[in-house]
Amino acid sequence: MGEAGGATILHADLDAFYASVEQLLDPSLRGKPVVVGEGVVLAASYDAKAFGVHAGMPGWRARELCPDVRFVGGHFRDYQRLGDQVIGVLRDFTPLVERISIDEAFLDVAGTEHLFGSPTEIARAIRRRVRAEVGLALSVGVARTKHLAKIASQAAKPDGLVVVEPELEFDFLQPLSIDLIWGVGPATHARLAGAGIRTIGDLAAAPGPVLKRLVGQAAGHKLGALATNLDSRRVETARRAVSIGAQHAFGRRQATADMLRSTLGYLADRVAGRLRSAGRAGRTITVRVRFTGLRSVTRSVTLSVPISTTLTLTEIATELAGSALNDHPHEREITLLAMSVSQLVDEFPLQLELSLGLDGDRRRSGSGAESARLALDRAMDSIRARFGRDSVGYATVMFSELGGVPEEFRELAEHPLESLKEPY
Amino acid sequence: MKLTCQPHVLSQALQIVSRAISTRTTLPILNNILLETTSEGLSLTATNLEIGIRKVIPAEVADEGSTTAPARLLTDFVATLPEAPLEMELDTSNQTLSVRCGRFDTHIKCIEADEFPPGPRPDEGDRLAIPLESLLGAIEQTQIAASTDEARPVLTGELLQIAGPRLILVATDGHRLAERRLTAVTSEELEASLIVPARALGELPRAFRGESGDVEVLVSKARNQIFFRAGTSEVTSRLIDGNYPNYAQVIPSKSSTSVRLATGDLMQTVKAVSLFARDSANVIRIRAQQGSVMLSATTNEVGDSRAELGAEVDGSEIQIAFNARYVLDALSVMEAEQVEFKFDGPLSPGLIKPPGSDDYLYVIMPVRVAM
Repeated sequence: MGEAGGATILHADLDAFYASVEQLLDPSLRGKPVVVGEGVVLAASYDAKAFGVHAGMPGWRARELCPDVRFVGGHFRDYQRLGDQVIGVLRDFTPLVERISIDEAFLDVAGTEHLFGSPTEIARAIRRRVRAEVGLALSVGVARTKHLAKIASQAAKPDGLVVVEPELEFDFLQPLSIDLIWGVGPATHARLAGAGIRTIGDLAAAPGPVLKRLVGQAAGHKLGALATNLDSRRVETARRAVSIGAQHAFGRRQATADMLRSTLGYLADRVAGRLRSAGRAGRTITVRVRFTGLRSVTRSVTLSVPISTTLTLTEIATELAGSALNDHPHEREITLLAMSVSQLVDEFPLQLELSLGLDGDRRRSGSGAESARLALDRAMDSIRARFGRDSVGYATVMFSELGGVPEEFRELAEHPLESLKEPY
Repeated sequence: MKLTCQPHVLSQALQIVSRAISTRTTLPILNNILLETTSEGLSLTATNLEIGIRKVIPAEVADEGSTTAPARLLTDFVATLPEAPLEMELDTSNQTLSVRCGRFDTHIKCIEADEFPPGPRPDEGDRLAIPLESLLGAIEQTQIAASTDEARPVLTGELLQIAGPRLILVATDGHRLAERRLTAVTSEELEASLIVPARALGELPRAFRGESGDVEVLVSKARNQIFFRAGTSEVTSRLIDGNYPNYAQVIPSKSSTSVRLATGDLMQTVKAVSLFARDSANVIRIRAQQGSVMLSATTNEVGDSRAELGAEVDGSEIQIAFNARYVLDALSVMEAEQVEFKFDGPLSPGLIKPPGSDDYLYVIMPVRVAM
């Protein structure tokens, strides 16, 4: 460590990443409003954002706001390649790089000053190299804590650098909107704004009991701490997920057996695939079913042995969702299905099982059936790694219609969800 | 009831019979041992309604009778008694048992014998007889593979397959399987497939210690009870309801590598190397190549160990990994000086057996490791 308590943490965040990559690949798009996606806006360039276009907006609305907007298909492999290339540049400065999604990472440069200069100089060098070697704009925030570095990088956008020196933290934070604090979503925002708390300064000044009444004890405590920049989280290079999950939201959908199976099959395909690519398996399977009116029910089961196969996860999740629905016979419409696997363990070594043909055998991870499923999944994993995610899959999943978001995009976008800890 | 017997004989018998007593019984009477005079002496019976054990010890009976005494108290007390004739007398007016031995004069409160549940002793059924030594040997060689997982009740039992004079005893926990073939001396051309709780079979060596000759086996007509008797000792058990898996399909019929080693050397080596197999699956790796077998184990925080043993190896080279405990279990019951391993690839079941005989087979599933 360098000087204790210095501003040595960097948050590096690529600007409008997906749209910028499209503009990089096709020079005719540069300086023009660009949207990645088709039916739904998955990402928008700064030029498009200037018209009020934002991610998640229906395509027709984007056209309405900005008639000249260009819709482009996603070059997913290029996103991954360029994102990796940027992380490679970061690792040239310190091994303490914590990647939290495809396009952002934390670095701790304490102790590298004698090699590369001050954190500010390092941040400048990183931005220069990413611009020159990759061709993308990278915004960087430098601060004493991760939380503040992230706020600083948001304030730096587009294509900027903001350094918050420790003695200026309070002045920097005070006027900013509470939305910038990790964990403040629309609901929390509304509750705090209702009590007149709009800036981080307001939040820092709010008495503990008031926050407790507004957002609960634990959240109130954490928000208060973050507002005064108390954040002891360190930059971790090899953080291991404690659970892996995915979810799918519908408008409203009639809950039929087919619909459950295909949606959960689709989620299981993603979750089990990520388990396998991490070389892990899990024992606890949790399914959440949200009904209309935001009421939701959770069911989970803990198996005696960990699993990582798509079909077995699908079967178990379907049973869990079925039991949740059976217990709520009056609820027939669902708006969201979510699945997660926890109690994760490394897959190896695995004691194999004799094929005795007893009931329940196939769910034991060492059984012949489960081994066969795993071999099939592994084969599909390698085909997908080579030819893309849509090249092969389970028919029930591939032929089901689940929203307009391309598979690869979800794949890229879900990773940060899994590696992020609790927001505060 | 009035009789005289030897305290050390009574003490041994009480300790054996007490093993049928459940520590978690809800019926108080099942904490007691049934004492009955018979023409042969004193009969002692205990049961938990699943397993029952009975022994008869020599006694001079002056007055016939019966009662039930608290097992724990009577067993602990008799174990401390000096080697002097022990006289027992029951006062039926208050069910108090006087035990006089040497300097001791003791009175134990008992419960009437007719409150004791009738023992599960089938009077009629199908009979066969098996030489005691070969039955006990077969139990020792198979019970190591039985499961203790109550989630799969069938596997907590052993399959006793009777086809005329030929008997097969099988146990498996899903990871390994042991099969022992033996021959009955007499049988009434009986055909039956029974699942006997492994815990009941495990009581036979203790209950029948000191007995000799044949074990008489009686299977109830309803096929829900089994009864074993050797000399004056008896073990009864309920049978497990259900279908035993079709185990024959998991016994490998072919192999690509066959290895022959000295049983004692191998066992000592596996024991030593497996001290370094401390992960969840106790993984020990075996590499067989021409003329030798290399055993190795590694645990990151502990260290590693390897050892090479001379061996006759036929067929292709192989690297395979097993749970060391499962291998040791098999070696510890292997009677022959040499032992044969047959492998058919690193993910297929391996077979351990005495060379040149198929009477005993031990099938073991490997552990899948990143080689």
